[in-house]
Parts: sequence; structure tokens; C-alpha cells
Amino acid sequence: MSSVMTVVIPVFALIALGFAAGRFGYFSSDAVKSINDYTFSMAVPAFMFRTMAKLEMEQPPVDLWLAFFGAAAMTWLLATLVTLKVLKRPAADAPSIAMSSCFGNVVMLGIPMSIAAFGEKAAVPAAMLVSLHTPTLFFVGTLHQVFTAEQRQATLASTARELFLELARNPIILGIVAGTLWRLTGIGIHPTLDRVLLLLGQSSVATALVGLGLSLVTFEIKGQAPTLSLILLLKLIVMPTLAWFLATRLFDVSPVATAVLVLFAAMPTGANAYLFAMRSGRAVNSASGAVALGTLLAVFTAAVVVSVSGMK
Amino acid sequence: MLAIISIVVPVFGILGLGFLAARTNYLSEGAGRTIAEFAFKVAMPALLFRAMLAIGPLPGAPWRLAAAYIVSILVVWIITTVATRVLLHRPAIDAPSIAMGAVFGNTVMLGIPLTIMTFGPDAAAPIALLISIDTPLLWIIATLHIEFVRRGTADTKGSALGALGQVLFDLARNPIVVPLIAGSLWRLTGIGIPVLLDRLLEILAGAAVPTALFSLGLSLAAYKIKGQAATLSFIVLVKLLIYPAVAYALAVWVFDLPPLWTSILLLFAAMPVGANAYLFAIRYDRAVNSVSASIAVSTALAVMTIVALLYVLKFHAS
Repeated sequence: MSSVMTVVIPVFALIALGFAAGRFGYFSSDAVKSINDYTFSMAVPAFMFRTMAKLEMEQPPVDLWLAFFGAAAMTWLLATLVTLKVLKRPAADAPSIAMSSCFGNVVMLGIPMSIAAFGEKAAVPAAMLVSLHTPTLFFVGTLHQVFTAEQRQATLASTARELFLELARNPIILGIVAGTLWRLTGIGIHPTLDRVLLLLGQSSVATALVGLGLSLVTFEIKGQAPTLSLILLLKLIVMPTLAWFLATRLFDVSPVATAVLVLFAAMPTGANAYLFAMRSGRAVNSASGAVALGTLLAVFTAAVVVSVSGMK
Repeated sequence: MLAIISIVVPVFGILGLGFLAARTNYLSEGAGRTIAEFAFKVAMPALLFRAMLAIGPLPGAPWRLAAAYIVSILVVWIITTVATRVLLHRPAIDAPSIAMGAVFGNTVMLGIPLTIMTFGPDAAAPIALLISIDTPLLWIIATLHIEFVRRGTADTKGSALGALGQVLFDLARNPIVVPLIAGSLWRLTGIGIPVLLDRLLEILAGAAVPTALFSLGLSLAAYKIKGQAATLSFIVLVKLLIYPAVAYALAVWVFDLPPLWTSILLLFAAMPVGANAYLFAIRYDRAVNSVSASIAVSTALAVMTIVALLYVLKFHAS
């Protein structure tokens, strides 16, 4: 049996397990929120703190960021063009559709998959991408929303402040910042503390995947077929292809980092894109459909990415 | 001492983080219940199932370990029952609840993490054996005991047989008992485990220890310290000191267990009071406050007793 299958099948089987647990009521009703609370507020912050605090790196990974966010920017533009020219939808729908086409599920699926596929050495590029992923995309999306809104409800400054406050309370961002500060003090991580963080961080693989499956119960495959299929095409095929192209042809990215960044670019639409669409009330059904159907289809696209990138 | 710190600090550190998360409302009490459910119904079963498959040759006859465990439980149960009447002057019908508090340790959420971190994978087989004994045996003894006392006092609701049947039915669906039985049956078939299934179970098992400890910490914040001081101190004293001492004496002088088994049995016996004792107390509404409080108090004190115990065990071994 190929090693690709030994990575992809257990990961998606765990998601399916979570989904089945949700469907058949194996847990009590508030399970989705609670397990995801643990993942997002404890386990992933511990993983990010540990990775950032132990980082041995001279310079920030500019090429990695340029390749990933370059691909995201191009996909965003494409999504906006598609919204206006192909789908003939109003400009105010573009931010939601672009967000669903660019915002992959990097935390709940990207981190577990990259660790399962490429091992511990995937942690650093994964953390580097996660650290900028939500802030950058949400900042761009909010700006885009402010400019295309039919009636201006908020000013740019108030929107930026709101976004900043939200990010400043985000436990994952706090974990990154605290880990970076800890590294700068030069104290180092005591082996006992390291063990605590390692245990908590490792548990995120299982809780994230089962939690993702549980949360999928609330998503339905709905939305207009043309919009939904174009989002899926952009998210699962165009963005990873662009990322791969930029990382290998234009920028100087190591093979491991390339594998992680292409995998991250190939991640299906994350629940955050749905929340973003909800906030503006635009293309909400398509976002929900993209999360549900995208996660299902990602079995195939993730398998392709992992086998093309080559295993550890 | 350093080696002990590197075991105890992560275990109680994660537990403490959970406690802190609940006390500061960083995570809700409901979150604690669900994470506990995840640990108890998904991650621990995966860990136990894999452990049963991986059991290697045993260093001695397993029945001796089982016998040492069962006899020490019975001895402490009798001591507690007598003490309930004579020392605490409480009615006989309170004895099963109090005995459950004094004997039912937190073997799954705290015992498994501590034993694995102390003794490594060699501990899997004896752990599985002890875990498969303690939940069924204690529930059956406690149910028989309380139904017997009720008969004597003519306080009968439903038949004793019915109550026992209910306990057996619950055990047959217990997420800790089922994987132990399923794992041993699977091992007997000799087909081995498919690589994909093993990988899936491995990922789940990797989350068992941290989620168990974290949710235990979260749930401790909900227990109130109330109840009779005398009963409370009695339960904590028996659970943390007398029961481990009885288990050690029987293991060494009566059953002549190999050193690793003695250590594991002792560590298991020394676990603080587990949530199952509380569930039993609630089911029959006897000594509920004392048992609830004994969980919080004994878990807090266990930091010290377990450090002392590990110190003795390591000292003994070297």
C-alpha cells in the first residue's frame, strides 16, 4: 500500500468518525463547540508557542510568504473577476466568494495533514504560514468589503480597529506572539515545559480532525451550482497550482517548505470563510457548500499533493 | 528527583492548566464535560485497544497480579465498612458510598497517564489487566453491598437482581471495558491490525493522555468542598495512604509479585478518588457531599503523595 494512502486515509477517516459521532449523537449536544474550543484555545496555541519559541532561524521566511500569499492574491483577483464577468453577480458578493476561494482550513486540516505527511520538520513552515494566514486574509477581505459595500456602514479606521482587537484576542495569534517573545528573551524551554507543550500540541491532531468532522454536520451542500463549482475549482486546484508554480519557479523555497505550502494552498475552504460570508450576508450558502463539499473533495486533491510532493 | 519532576510536573501541569482554564472562565465547564467525553469515549478506548494488541510476554503469572489487586480491594472495603459504623457512627447504608470513595481511584484519567510516563510501554499489559478488573469489580461489589443492606432495612425498591442486571448492562457498554475485551479478542484471532486502522488509532491514542488530564482539571473546578469533615478526611486518608499500604504489603509478602508489577499496583492504588465514586454516590444518594469533596481534596493532595511514592519507587529500584 502506498504511503500516501497511509497519510490521507486515517486523516479523513478521523473526520468521518467525528461526522458520524455528530450525526448519531455519540457526544452530548454542545460537543462541537467544546472540542473546537479545546483545539483552538489550548492545543494549537501550545503547538504554535512551542514551534515559535524553539525556532532556529536567522531571517523571516520571506520567500515562503511571498509564494503562498502571492498565490492567494492571484486567486483573490481571479475570484473577483469571475464573480463580476462569469457569474454576473454584484461587486458586493466578491469579497465572500474570494474569501471562500482563498481561505483554506489550514489549522484544523493543514497542520494535522502536514505533520502526518512530512513529520516534525513540517512544523516550522506550517507555523510560519498559520501566523500570517488569518490576519492577512481577513484584513484583505474586510478592506474589500468596505470598498464594495452598497451602503457604507463602517469607516475603514473602525473596521481595522475591530479586526485588530479581534486578532489580539485570538488564542492562536497570542500563542505565536508569546512564543516569539519567549525566544527573544533567550531563556530557552525547560525540557519539562517542553513536554507539556508537546503533549498538548500533539493532541491537537486528533481533536482538530474529530472536531472538524463534528462541525461539518452543521454545514449543508447548498448554494448556486455555478458559484459553488467555481469556488471549489479556485480553492482546490487553481490556488495550489499557483502556489507550486511560484514556490518552484519564482521564489527560493526549500523542498519541505514547498510541500507544506502547496498542501496548505490546497486545503478546502475553512469555517472562517463561512463566518466571514455570514457577517456580510453575501454568498452565504455558497460558502457553506464550499466548506462541506470542499472537505469531501479534498480527499483526492490532498492525496495528489502529498504524492507529488514526495514523502519524508 | 529530576526524573520524578519530569513525570509529575507535566501530568499535574496539564491538569492545573485545565483547572485554571475553568476557574478563569477561559473555557466553559461544558467544554470540560465534552473534552472528558472525548478522552473517555474516543481517545482512551483507542489507547486501550492498541495496548491490548501490543501486549508482549508477561514477567509473571497474571492471576497473581489480579489476585493481589482484588484481595487488597476486599480488605480495604471491609475496613471501610466497619469504620463507617464504629468510627464515623454513620448508618450501614452509607458504607458502600464511602467505601467506593476510599477504593475507586482515578485509574483511567490519572493512573494511565502517570503509569505510562513513569514505566513506559512495558506498563501497558499490567495496566490493561488492572483497569479491566477495577471498573466492573467495584461497581458489582458496591451494588451487591448496597442492595444487601437495603434488604436488611426493608428499604426495597426493585429487586437486587434487577439492580445488578442494570450494572452489568452498563458495563457491557462501558467505553473502557469494551475496547479491553475487543482488543484481547482481536489479539486471540491472530490476524494482526491493518496499518491504516493502526495509524488512525495511534493518532487518537496520542490525544488520550493530554485530553484526559486537561478535562480532569476542568472538572475539578466544579466540585465543591463540603460534607462532613470526619467522613471526608477518612476517605482521603484511606485512599491515599491505607489502601496503597495494604496493596503493597499484599504484593510483596503474600503474592510475591515481580518489582515492576508491585510498583504499578502501588501507583494504581495510590491514585486519588475517581469520578466513578461520585457517580455511585449520586445514584443512591448516599454521602454525596463527602465523596464529591474527596475527589477535589485527594487530587490536590495527590501531588505530594505521588511525588513521595515515585521517590520511594525510584529509590527502591536503584
